[in-house]
Amino acid sequence: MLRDELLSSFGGIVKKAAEVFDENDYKDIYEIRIRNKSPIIFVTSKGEIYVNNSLKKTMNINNGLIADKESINKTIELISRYSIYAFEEELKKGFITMKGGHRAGITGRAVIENGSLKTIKGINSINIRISREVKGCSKNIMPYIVSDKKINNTIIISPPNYGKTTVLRDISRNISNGIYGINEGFNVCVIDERNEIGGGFMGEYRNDIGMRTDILDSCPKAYGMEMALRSMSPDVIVVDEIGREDDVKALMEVFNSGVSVICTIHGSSIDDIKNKIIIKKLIEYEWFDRYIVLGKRAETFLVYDKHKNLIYKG
Amino acid sequence: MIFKIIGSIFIIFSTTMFSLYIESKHRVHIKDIEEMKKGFNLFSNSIRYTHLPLEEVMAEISQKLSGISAEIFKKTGVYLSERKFESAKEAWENVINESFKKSNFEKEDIDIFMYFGKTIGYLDFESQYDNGKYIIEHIDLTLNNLRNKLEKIQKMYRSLGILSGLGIVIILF
Repeated sequence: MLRDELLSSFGGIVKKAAEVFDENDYKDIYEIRIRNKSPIIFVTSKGEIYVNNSLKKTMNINNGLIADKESINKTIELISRYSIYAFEEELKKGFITMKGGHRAGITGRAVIENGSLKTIKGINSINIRISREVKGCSKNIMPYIVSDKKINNTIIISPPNYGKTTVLRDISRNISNGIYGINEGFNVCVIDERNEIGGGFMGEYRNDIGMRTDILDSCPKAYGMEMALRSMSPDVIVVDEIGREDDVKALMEVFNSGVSVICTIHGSSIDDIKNKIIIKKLIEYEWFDRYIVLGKRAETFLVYDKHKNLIYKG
Repeated sequence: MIFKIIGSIFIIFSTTMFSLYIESKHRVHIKDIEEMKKGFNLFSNSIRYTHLPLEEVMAEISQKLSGISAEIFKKTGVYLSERKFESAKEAWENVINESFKKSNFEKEDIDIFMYFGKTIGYLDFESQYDNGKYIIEHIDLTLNNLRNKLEKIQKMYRSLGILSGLGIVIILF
């Protein structure tokens, strides 16, 4: 299913290369890198894999099939369901969300108008990050997020590609549905600016994000948090990758309203985010009850309490 | 004698009907192009106001049109949703080629429609909208020419129909 979903979005030589992998292979591929005049790279947990001219898998990059401009154009057209015009706002942010919630990051020639980015033309690189649901991946984290039948304000910290969004999706599903012996179900509102949590594409959501979850997709996080507070009376707001001043202001409003927050941020450790000017204030005022630092592929994690004391390592 | 008169009436009736048929072919041709123009207008407006994906735009347009034009937009929408082709251009061109034989369109019309195909699928919002408008301007020119042509030939065909019938009758008598 994942294979078919991805293949329907590839064109030209990219499709030929992608067809070499079967459904099982796709379970281990988490990134596909397509660059004009460069080999197509399939990134797996075991390393990079390429496809040679005889359409066989190879570990030698020099034998890899080379992506051409036409294939990149066709792929972009298919990713956008032949409707690039409908993705103007996403293009400005440098990505397109594909069917299934996979994110296609793009680079090309930036068109600037009146000092701001208008669009990206002449796309020459695509980086497809494959989104997948791993139900139960937050099982060991949940007891630290819930205490006394209350959801702790939690920030999840990890570098890109460590599985933050996958864990966040599972957490919101668990909070929403409830877990026997840990928590009852809460009303959750997910602010999904990049459509990665719900896997939303043109109004349809692929991922299971819980029975009591409302989702606001494609909406800037700060606006989304304000809107959710005013209109949806949530118990918990879930938001991915905070990092702007506006996000922090909106978070303060949410904290003041008594609604719990589960959010993520790029960083390698608790000390790393302590030094980020934007979020420094939130840490100093101890707004967060839990800091969770994820290890590679979220297989290990550290939990810190409100006062930044390590309470779990595993 | 009575057979000659019946025969003559039949000849005059046939030539008149034939001329009316030719004239109606022109009318249907104009009507079909007007429908296509309506389709392109709906396309531009849809791009501007709804931001829907192309396959849905095509399906919506087809519901508001009739005849061959509705068929063209509908079929393109189906091909796009099935991902039958790697580009919207290929899908559109295939539909136009498939529809050409059973339509009243001429080679010049098809060229304009084909140009439209070259502009869909990969353009940003503004360019996509502008191209829809550009096609409409082209179609307007074609329609003006066709309407002028029809006005001129309308009278000619009608009188020619009756006169040619009369001519044949005189020669036969």
